[in-house]
Parts: sequence; structure tokens; C-alpha cells
Amino acid sequence: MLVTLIKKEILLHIMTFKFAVGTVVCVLLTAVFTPVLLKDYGLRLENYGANVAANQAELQKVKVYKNITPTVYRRPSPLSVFAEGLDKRLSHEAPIRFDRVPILETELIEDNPFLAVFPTMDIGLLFKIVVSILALLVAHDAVCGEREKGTLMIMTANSVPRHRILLAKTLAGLITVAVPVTLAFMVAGFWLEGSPVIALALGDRLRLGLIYGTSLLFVFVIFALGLVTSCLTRKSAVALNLGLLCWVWIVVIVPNGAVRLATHWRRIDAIEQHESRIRAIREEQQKEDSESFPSMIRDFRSTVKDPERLVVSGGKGAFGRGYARVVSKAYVKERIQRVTIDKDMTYADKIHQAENRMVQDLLGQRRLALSMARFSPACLYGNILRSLAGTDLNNHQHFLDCARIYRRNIVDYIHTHTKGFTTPNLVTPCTEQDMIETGDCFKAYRTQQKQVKTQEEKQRLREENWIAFIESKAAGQSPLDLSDLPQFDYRPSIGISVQRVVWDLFLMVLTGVILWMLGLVFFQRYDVRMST
Amino acid sequence: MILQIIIKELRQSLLSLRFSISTVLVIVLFAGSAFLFRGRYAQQLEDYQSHRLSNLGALKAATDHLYDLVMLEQVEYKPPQALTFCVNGYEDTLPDQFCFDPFVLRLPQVKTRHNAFLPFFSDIDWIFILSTIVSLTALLLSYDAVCGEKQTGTLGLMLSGMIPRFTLLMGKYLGILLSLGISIFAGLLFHLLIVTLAPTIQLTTGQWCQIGMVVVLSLIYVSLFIWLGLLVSSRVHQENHSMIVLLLIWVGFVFLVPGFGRILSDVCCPAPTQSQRQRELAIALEDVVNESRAGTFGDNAGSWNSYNDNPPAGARYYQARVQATNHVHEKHFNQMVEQVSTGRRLTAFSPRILYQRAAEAIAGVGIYHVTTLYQQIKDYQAQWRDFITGCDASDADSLHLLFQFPDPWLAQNWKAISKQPVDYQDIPKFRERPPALVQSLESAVWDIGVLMLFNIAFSAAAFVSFLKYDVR
Repeated sequence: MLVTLIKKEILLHIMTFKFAVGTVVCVLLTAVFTPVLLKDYGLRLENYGANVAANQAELQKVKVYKNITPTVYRRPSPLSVFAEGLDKRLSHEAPIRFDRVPILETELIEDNPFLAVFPTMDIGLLFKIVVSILALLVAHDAVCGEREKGTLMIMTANSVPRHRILLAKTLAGLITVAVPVTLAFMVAGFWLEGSPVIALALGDRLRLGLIYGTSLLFVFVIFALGLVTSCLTRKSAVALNLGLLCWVWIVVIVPNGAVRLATHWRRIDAIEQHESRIRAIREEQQKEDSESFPSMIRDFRSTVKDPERLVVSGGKGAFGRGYARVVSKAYVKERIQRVTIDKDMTYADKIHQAENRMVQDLLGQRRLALSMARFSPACLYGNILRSLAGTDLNNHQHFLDCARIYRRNIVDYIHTHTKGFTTPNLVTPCTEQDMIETGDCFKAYRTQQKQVKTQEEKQRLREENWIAFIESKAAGQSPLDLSDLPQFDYRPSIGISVQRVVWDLFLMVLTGVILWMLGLVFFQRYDVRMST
Repeated sequence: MILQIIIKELRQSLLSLRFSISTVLVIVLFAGSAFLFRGRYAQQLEDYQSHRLSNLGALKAATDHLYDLVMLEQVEYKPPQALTFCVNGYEDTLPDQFCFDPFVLRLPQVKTRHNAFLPFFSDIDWIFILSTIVSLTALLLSYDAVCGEKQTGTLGLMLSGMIPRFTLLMGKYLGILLSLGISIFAGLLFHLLIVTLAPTIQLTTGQWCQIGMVVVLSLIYVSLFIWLGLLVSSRVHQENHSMIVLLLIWVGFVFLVPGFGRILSDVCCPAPTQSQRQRELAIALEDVVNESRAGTFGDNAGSWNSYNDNPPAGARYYQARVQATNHVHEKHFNQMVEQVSTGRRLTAFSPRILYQRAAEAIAGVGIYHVTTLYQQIKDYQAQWRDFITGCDASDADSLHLLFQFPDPWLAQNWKAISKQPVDYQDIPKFRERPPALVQSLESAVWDIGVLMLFNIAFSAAAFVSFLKYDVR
């Protein structure tokens, strides 16, 4: 009997105008939007590839250990066409610096801040709006529509249990709406597979499957809502009106209202307060540096008597950072003392703590907004989609956690290779022999300079003796062998993504079940007779 | 006769469940948004006053020497707009900080209490409530106005009584408009009552006129949807078909088409990325350096020692740098605004976009506010430069060379500009000039015109369809 009822319901639904229109619109919009979204993704991926290549090229040029300051990048998620999330709004890079701990940037990376007037457009939005309305249209007259036609009375007269009738209607309705959802996913999948810029891994396909399943679950929740309105009213027009107003509440008002309420109830501090804390720490650091500066001045005055202590020729190295091309032994000893990686890291941790307060302030407001928005199945659906697509904030934070670990590994690597930041290769590629030759060359150059009278001769001497020596030494210096440099390890795990969405999935299932049970309760008491 | 039809439609609407629920929803949203606005506006006002005092303090501290004023970078913030309760215009997410000195105006930034981690949201203002809830209610009230009556059999009976079809349709339209008007005005009344009772909000006569204009615009927008409902209702013979078609159009107009604006603006009018902007600026400055080497500005113009060698040449060189920088910044600002304008223009067949744009222009908020403020700051920069030139002219020791000093040490040691102190009271201070009502209306006239055109087109089509409608 159940199968018969389901078959009947399906046949009734698929031969309606609303099913035809809904399916065509769903598939057409997916077919139109997906390639445009893919093109945008392609541009972001190209940018990512260029950045990674440039970073690798710079690493090949590193000649001193203090210049190992790469930047790590996060690949844009291929499933961001389904849920853009924060993928385009947050920075995808984390510079590895001694004086800065990678942290969530609190400012948007949008190239054009005026684009904030446009809502984000992705396939998830399409499903949230079009598919949910279709589900409502299919469900709203499931009970009251049949009552108006008079067939409900006949059906229930056949001693078919009411719960079986409702179950059949639910399953049939879900199968009906699953058709455009499946077709839309097939179209999107076709574009994704056919796109030259996207290579879907097994994990991505699994995520896609989970997104499909979540979409069907969302359809079930909206269908159950439509069923409730249908069982509450006697006229399908009234049921539809009620259903639409409920839809507006959960799809439009709650998602926007929750965010606005959160900004009202949990205000964030002005950015100036946070900036003043960070400024105070930087001033403390500068003060500490300047306290050691007088000793440098005293030393500087004494170097006038011993000019070899000032012998250095700088150059621009990898990542735009300077290094000493040629240098005397006396200068190197002093220079290494001034490289204060440990102190930089200490102050970086202090600044990180202050910045983290600012980030936690913002995250607190966000958590409140998301908690309040959980009353809406549309928001739950959006949260799950973003988590599965890898475009939510948690994924980004995981990337930054990995970046922080990588930073630590880089510092340990430099520490090991420079024997605790004490060897000359920290600041210069010069060997011991080079330093001795530099000192000797400089002494000879200074002696010759004192004997020359005219400015032109001094300039010629400088270029022929000193500059030529520097250039020849610099030309012979090869980059460091970084084959054992730690590699950045970041792999978004599907297990972690699924773990994060468990609660939202549970809430969605619970909402759907509660709505369906409510529908059943109302249907059990429903007067199936036609009005005379 | 038309009056009777109106009364009948009015009664029918007022007694319907859809109208009751939507009216309650609208009033609750209006009241809620009013309370939220009060708290937010008070905070914004406090922040703005604090920033303004800080900026004036910096101005006062720079009065010891005229060259301090030349070196000073002012930071102005966008003043909070009282009318954001009716049209928010995404004021919270648009750039609000303007940094400038007498020569260079940087690109505006988003700085005040902004949370980048929040999901995108539309503020619950009048535009949001009217463009989503009330427009949907308009469709719910009108979708069965013709085909519904046909199905119940009353349409034929009405027309058999020699009522002209034009009168009947007009009566239906006015009845629905009046019913919606009741819920809109009830909501607006609650909202305005709550807002005007706040001590921090004092509305001027001009602002009340702007509110009135937004109300009229809102009625034009709602009227469009009523005509749309009547049109579709008089094209089909079953009310569920009417509902499906209207829902599709509503979803397209209100959600999908506006959402597509972002994609269209990226594809059709891409703005330069941050790295492209930096590159363009570096190239422009490099060109100035090359010109300096070629002797365009005079001997030793770009050298560090030009203050001894050739001060006027040095001044010309730095002025050229400033011009190049300003040219690039202004070009990028215009490109960013053009990108958004293009996106909105291409989606302007959506009444929601037209309504949003027109309301923002009337209320002087949103992108319109930022671009107006940008222009006013540029005018103020010129005024500031004129003031400095005027003060400097009275100092015989000065070389009267006004340009952007690259270094404070240079400013102190060159005789390019006067070192005399300045009276703080004489310094011009920036004050935003709100646009005149006529100017606001001028900016919105195109969008209002298109909305009226939509009304005329839908109403004409509805009349024609109804004239040919088979009522049997």
C-alpha cells in the first residue's frame, strides 16, 4: 500500500506546472552560474600558483639564514563554488617572520571595499532560495489540496493509517524535489569535472557527496514545514501563504536579524584600543633597543680609530631583505650580536597575545550571531555547506595553526644551522678566508686613498680596487643548500570538517523530525471532509 | 462604484490571515529595527565625536610652525547619518576613514568597529522590510485578485453588473494598495515614534522631507508589485499557476538578480588588485624620477642635497610626485566606484536595485555618501593649501615653495615654507556639507523614473490582459 501511495503521489507531482518550472529554473540557473563561479575560482587559483612559485624562487636565492622568511599560502577551495564563505574575504597567506606570529587578519582583503554592497553568490544560495521554495510548493497542498479535491476523504476511508499516508506523501515529495536537486548537482559536477582548473581529489568528491546529502536533508526540513502548514489549514492558498511567510522568516529575517542582534548585544571594542595596546608593546621593544644603543654609539666612536670594524658591503637578498655581501671579521662579530631573533620572538608572542584579544573579541560576536542564527534551518544548511566546502573560519584557523607550527620549525632549523644564532652564516655568506681577504683589501685601499689627491682619482681607485673586489666576491657566493628545510604541511581533513558539522547536522535532523511529528499530530486530528 | 469595489477589496484583505500575519511581522520588524538603530547610532555618534576631537587635537598641536601644518596628516571619519534607520546603504561595511595631508588624499579604508568575520548581512531597515516582506505581501494579496475570483465564480457575476473592467481592476489595485498602506504606515509610525524619542536623534526639516520622499518611493515600489500581481493574475486561469509565476519573478527580482551583481561587476568591470595598484604607483613615481634625471624640473631636482643646490627645482620635483600619486589614487578610487556602479547598472532591471539606489541617493547614504565626502575632502584640501599659502606669503624669510616634504628634518631645515606659528582659530576645519534636497532628488530621478515606468508598463499590460480575459 505504501508503495502504491508513493507512486500515486509522485505521478501527481511530476505532472504539475510547478515541478516543471522549478526543475527548469534550478537546472538552468546552476548551468549559468557554475561556469562564472569557476572562472572566478580559476583566477584565484592562478594567483595562488604564481605566489607559491614566486616564494619558491625566492627561497632558491637565500644566501644567509636570517633571510629565510618565506610566506605560506592556502590553496582556494575547489568547492567554494558551492559555498563561498569567507574564502574571498580573508587573507590566504601567512608570512613567516621572527617578529610576527601568524594570526587571523581582522581586516578584509577585498581589493574593492565597495563590493560589500553585493551579497555573496554561490550555488548554496541557489538551493537555499529556489529549491526550498520548490519544496514548499510541493508540500503546501499535500494534505489540504487533496481535501479540497475530495480525494483525501476517499483515501482515509480505505482504512489506511494516517501516519502511512503522511509518510507516503513525505517520501514522494522528497523524491520529487530530489529530482531537480540531483539534476542541478549533476550539472555542477559536470562543469567541475570538465573544468581544466579543477582537479577533484577523493576527499573533494566525498565532500561533494556530503553536500548533496545535506541539501536533501535541508529539502526534507522545508518540506516538513510545508506539511505542517498544509495540515494546519483547510485551504491550499492559506497553507501556501503561511508557508511563504515562515520561509521568509527562516531564510531572510533570521539570518540577517541574528547578525544585527549580535552586533547590538555584544559590542566590540574600538580598534584604537587594541592598536594602542600593540603600540605600547612596540614602544617597549624600541625602548629596550635604544637602551642598548648608547653602547653602540660608544662602540661607534671607538671604531673611528679602528675602521676595520665598519667594513661591510650590503646587498638586497631573498624576500627583499638585506644581507652583508662582504664583511670583516670584526664587523661580523658585532653584527651577529645585533641580530636578536630570540628577543624578536618574545615580543612577537606579546604582540600576538594583544592581537589575539582583538581577534577573540570579534570571534565572540561572530559566535553569538551564529548561535542565534541556528534557529533557522537555512543558516544551519549554510554553516554545514561552508564547513564541508572548506571555506569557513575554522578551516582558515586550522591553516594558521599549521603556519604557526611551521614558523617554529623554521626558527629551530635556523637555530640548529647557526649553532644558536652565533655563526657568521646567519648574516653573511662570507667564509673565514673571505673575511681576512676583505680586511686586507680594505686596509690596502685605505692606504692608497691617503696617497691620492684628486677626487677623480679617489673615485677611480674606489671603483677599481674596492668595488671590483666586492663584486668579484659577491659573484662567487652561492645560495644556501636548503634541501633539508622543513616543508609546510597543511592538509584540510575531511574528518575534521565532518566533526565540525555534526552538531549542525544533528540540529537540522532534529528540526526536520520535530516538524514532521508536528505535521503528523495535526494530520491525525485533521477533518478530511470537504466543506459543503 | 469604484469606491464600493475598493471597500470590498479592503475588507477582504484586512480580514485575511495572510494580511494579519504579514502586518504583525512588518510592525515587529519595524519596531525591532528602531530599537537596534537607537543603540547603534548612539555608539557611532560617540565614536565619531572622539575621532573628531582627536583630529582637531592633532591640528592644534601642529600650530607651532606653519611647516608642521604642511606635514600634518589629518584623519577624517564618515559622520554617522541619522537617516540610516530608513536606508542603511551598507554604511557599516563601506569605507569610512579618509587620511589626507594638504597634497595627497589616500584611498578610503574601512576602520571603525567593523567585524570582518561576520557573514554578509543586510541591515533590517525600511528598504529591507519593504523590498522583501511587503513586496511579497503585495503579491500574496494580488495573485488571486482576478483568477481567484474567476475560480470562485464571483468575477463573472461582478462583470455582468455592467461594471467597466477598467473600474474593476482599478478598484482592486486601490483596495490592495490601501490595505498595504495601512500595514506600512502602522509600521512606520511605530518606528518613527521609537526613533524620534531617542535623545541623540534630532531630525531637521530637510531630513523629514527626505523621509517623506523615501515613503513615496516605497509606495511606488510596492505599487509595482501589486500591478505585477494583477498582470499575472489576469494572464492565467488558476491561482496556483499565478502564485508559482509570481514567486519565480519575486525571487529573481529580490534575490537572484541583485546577487548576480557582484559576478557581473567582477567580469565586466574588474578593478585593479592591491598589488596592481602598488605597481602602478611605483611606475608613476619611477617616471617622475626619470623626468627629474632628464632635467625637466631643473638641475639636481631629485637629489638629497637639492635644498642647497636648487630649492625651486626640488619643490617642482616633489610637486610632480604628489601629482602622480594623486592621479593614481583618484583613478583607482574612480575605478572601484565604477566597478560597483557597473554591477548595479547591469542589474538595474531588478526593481529592488532601483529602489535601493534611489533610496540611498535621497537619504544621502551608502556609496553616494562616500563619493560625496571624497569630493568634499578634495575641496577642503584646496582650501587648506590656500590657507597655508596665505600665511606663508606674509613671511619674508620663506622661499614660498609649497610641496609635500619627504622628511620632517627637511621641513625644519629648508626655508621653503615659513616657520612662523599659526593661530588655531584661523585654520579651516573640515565639516561635511549634507547634500541639498534638490541635489538628492536629482541623483535619484533616473531610478524613480524607471520604477514609474515599470508601474506604467505593468499596469498597462494588466489592463490589456484583463480586457481580453475570459471570465467564464
